[in-house]
Amino acid sequence: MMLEHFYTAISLIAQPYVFFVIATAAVYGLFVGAIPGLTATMATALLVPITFFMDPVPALAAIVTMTAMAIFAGDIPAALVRIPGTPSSAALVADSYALTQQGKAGFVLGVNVTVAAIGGLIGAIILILLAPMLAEVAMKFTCFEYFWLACIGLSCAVLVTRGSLIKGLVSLLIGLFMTTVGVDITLGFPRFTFGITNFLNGFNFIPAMIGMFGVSEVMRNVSSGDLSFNGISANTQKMFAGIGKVLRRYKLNVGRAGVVGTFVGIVPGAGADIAAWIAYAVSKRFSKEPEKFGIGHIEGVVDAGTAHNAGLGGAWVPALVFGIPGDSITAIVIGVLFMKGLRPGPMIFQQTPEILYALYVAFILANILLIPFGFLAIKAGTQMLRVPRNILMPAILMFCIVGSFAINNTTFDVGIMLCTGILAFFMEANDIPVAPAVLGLVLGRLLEDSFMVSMIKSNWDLTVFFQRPVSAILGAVSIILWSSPFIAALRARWKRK
Amino acid sequence: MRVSNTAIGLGLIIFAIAVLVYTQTFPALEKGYPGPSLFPNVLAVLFIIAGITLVVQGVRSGERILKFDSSGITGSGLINIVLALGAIIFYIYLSEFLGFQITSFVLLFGLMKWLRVSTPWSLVMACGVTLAIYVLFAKILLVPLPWGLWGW
Amino acid sequence: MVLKEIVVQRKNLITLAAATAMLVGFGLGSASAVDYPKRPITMICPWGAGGGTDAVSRILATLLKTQLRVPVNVVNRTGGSGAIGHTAMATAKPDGYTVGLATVEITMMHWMGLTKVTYRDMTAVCMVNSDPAGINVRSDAAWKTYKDLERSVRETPGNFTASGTGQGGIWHLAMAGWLRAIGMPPTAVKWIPSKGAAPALQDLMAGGIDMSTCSLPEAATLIEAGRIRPLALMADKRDPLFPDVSTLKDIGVNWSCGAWRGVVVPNGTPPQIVDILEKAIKKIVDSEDFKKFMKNRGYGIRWMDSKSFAKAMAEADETNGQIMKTAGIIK
Repeated sequence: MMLEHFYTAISLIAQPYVFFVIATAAVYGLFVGAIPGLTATMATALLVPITFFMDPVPALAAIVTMTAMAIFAGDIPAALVRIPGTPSSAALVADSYALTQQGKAGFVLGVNVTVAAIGGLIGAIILILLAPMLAEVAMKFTCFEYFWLACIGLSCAVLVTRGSLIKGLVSLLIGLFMTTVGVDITLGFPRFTFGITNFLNGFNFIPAMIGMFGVSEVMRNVSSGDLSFNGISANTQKMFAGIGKVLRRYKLNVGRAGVVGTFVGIVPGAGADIAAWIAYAVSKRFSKEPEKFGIGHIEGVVDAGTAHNAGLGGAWVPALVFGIPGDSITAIVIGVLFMKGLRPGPMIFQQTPEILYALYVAFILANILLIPFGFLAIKAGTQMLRVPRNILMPAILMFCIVGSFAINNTTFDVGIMLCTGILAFFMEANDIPVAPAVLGLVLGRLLEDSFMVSMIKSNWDLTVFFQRPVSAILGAVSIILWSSPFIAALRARWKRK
Repeated sequence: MRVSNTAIGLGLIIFAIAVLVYTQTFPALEKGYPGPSLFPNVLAVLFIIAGITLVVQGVRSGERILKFDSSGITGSGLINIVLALGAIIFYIYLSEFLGFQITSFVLLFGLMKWLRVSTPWSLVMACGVTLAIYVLFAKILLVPLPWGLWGW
Repeated sequence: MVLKEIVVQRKNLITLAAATAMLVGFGLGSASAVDYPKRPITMICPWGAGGGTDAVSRILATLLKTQLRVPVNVVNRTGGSGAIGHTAMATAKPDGYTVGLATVEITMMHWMGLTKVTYRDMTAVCMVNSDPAGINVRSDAAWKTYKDLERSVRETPGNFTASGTGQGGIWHLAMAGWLRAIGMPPTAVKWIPSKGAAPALQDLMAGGIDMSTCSLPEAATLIEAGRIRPLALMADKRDPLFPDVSTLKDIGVNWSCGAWRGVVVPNGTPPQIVDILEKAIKKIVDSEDFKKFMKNRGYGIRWMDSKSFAKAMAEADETNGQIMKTAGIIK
């Protein structure tokens, strides 16, 4: 039965027109992902009017291919110029940029594209085999479980911090505090907006991220007097050497991050970005060489790079089974499905299995195509390193400005970019790491909203966080995670005695 | 741009106190439970704890409170930074009036020239990058870039 | 057509190319001499990509492009419960090149103190869509009919929770108005704020809340999957897509409430341009493409011309303000 559907699906995909659509979507996705400020979500929204004139199969194949390419492509500027192209690449930016500065740009990006493809395939396989079952679990999540999920995510801050823990905490608090600007969940009260309408939206995440990584990097680069020479050697010969060795060495990491990424992706409201952070932290926690993380170690890049593409497949699970989007991309996809007269829900598995299986085939195909297309993109991208910095830096600055502007079409966001850029420059000059602040920005609203809603529901009874089985398990995990550094310290002290 | 840990700690404490005072004006939930003010206040208290720790660490290590260290940034480097940031401000205030193409070209040409790229190269690169961004964003991705004097 | 072209040329002394582009405006049947549109139009959507407002604005933009022959770009200006997008619509240059898809929130958020912008700051072009609120419960809930639910609420007020939007959002208002119509205090059902209909429905399925007052199209997949049961529709007429769901009016409760969407332009836009837009959108709303799209998504088409839409906004503004006051949403 399943095989039969697969044959039909393959015949639907294996057509010149569909291949053309997929190839075009791939190039489009690579561009969108590689340019900071243009997100996969926005690119999907732009595809909608075009898919309006397409059959469902090429339309869905276009979206699947485009997103897979875009999420990987975000890693390219992360490695080359320390600016994550999409929020999902923020977790690995420190390591991959450090590797580029050691002259290993081709190597790190080659690893990135390979693990992204494997991660995407893991996500796709889990989607194909377990979608209905996993969706049931995800549907059990309510505010209590989300609260613990945010806590688990925040505990990663300890792991992504290098150096002084107290400065890591300061950074995390700065990120969390930024999320309190804007309309509050409990009363709809405008907080810290000082009457400025644009502040109602708070610190928009993408301009803030471009500022923290991009603008601060430009500032650092131009701050050293002479720019005419080029600091990084762009070694294009044997640039992809050593990838196979890394894959063999970290095959367990790839498998683990693939599963972690898919599961985080399945939970509605937690997307590829949170998946990458959690996978990175897990990687460091279980690594034999945790001290190397953050200064150019490939292991964390492997995990985060696998997880963000795995998360994409996961997000389709609740979308297909219940019509509840796993992330903002699938929210748009649901709209496209409706437009094509396909109703997501349990019935889609019986009514239109051929479309569903075509979607599965598209997922697998897109991730296989990721390798050749990705390598071409890397070849093209690394040419950028040959450009002298006094030409490159103004150009990057312009891309940062337009990217921040494009997300909401307002110069206000360019201002956000400027302020967060200065803030991050100052923080890094004083050994305050930036990564925890970005994590705080990602998770702050989830943490506050889920906590406040839980308290409203339960009339301020804190025990509700342990009353439901899933919630109790997640709670126990977070408490163990949060207390483990203290327990380790106590144990060390006890041993010394 | 390095300052002492003590100064950072003091700065955080002052900021946190300002937040604590300001959140007094936020409305509460029914029966007096804290609403919009709870999360900012918790963060402010944590800021104070972190600030005190930094001050204690700073004083213990015996650092000068009013330390200011440019950490290797030279005079011309500082001017470069100011100009880069100035370029962003220029875009924020003038792009709506000038339109994207003029603003972008002026900024790119100016910055490249200042960073000692030769005039012909500056011209070519400024034009090229402006056009590339324009085609990619305005034409392919349909982003409505600022429309000014010239059209775009 | 040729005659018009020549007239235009003599009048404005412009090139032939520009005149041909302008023919489009005349092709719509407008007799006015206004030279519109001649460059891309921006359509502001005050809600994020993936939502219903985004979907409606994108289909409108796509079809408007074929009508006006210039690109129509949708721009999502999100945040502040819609305040940012609506402010952008009101403060844009009134040259007809920025239009907005205003939603019911324009009549609510100034009451919440989020913005000073009201419906008075924008000119109505036309209403295109309206979806009534529903009362949805889990299918394994004890309530089989609306009457069961009302009885429970009367017996143990304050015991149940509902969600669908944030605090002071349209579905919150729908619930408050319903409670008022059956003579219960606004606290009889506790409102749990959420980020929107999708998270609220997920919370409903997870057992986090007891009911959701979101619209039926938003819950359609879960209704079809047999996970959620709609008990009533807060409208005067039944929804043809859900003919089995009775309206509150059928049951004898005098309350209807829904979310609507309509096209607006900033105040000061020339009346000829408003006219061109209104006529173009009227054609779209009557087109098969639009009807098919709205039916597939389960959205209701509701056409109102410029005058009636303006009047409807004024009325909604007043009623919504009253309900929010009696419900204690605003002080």
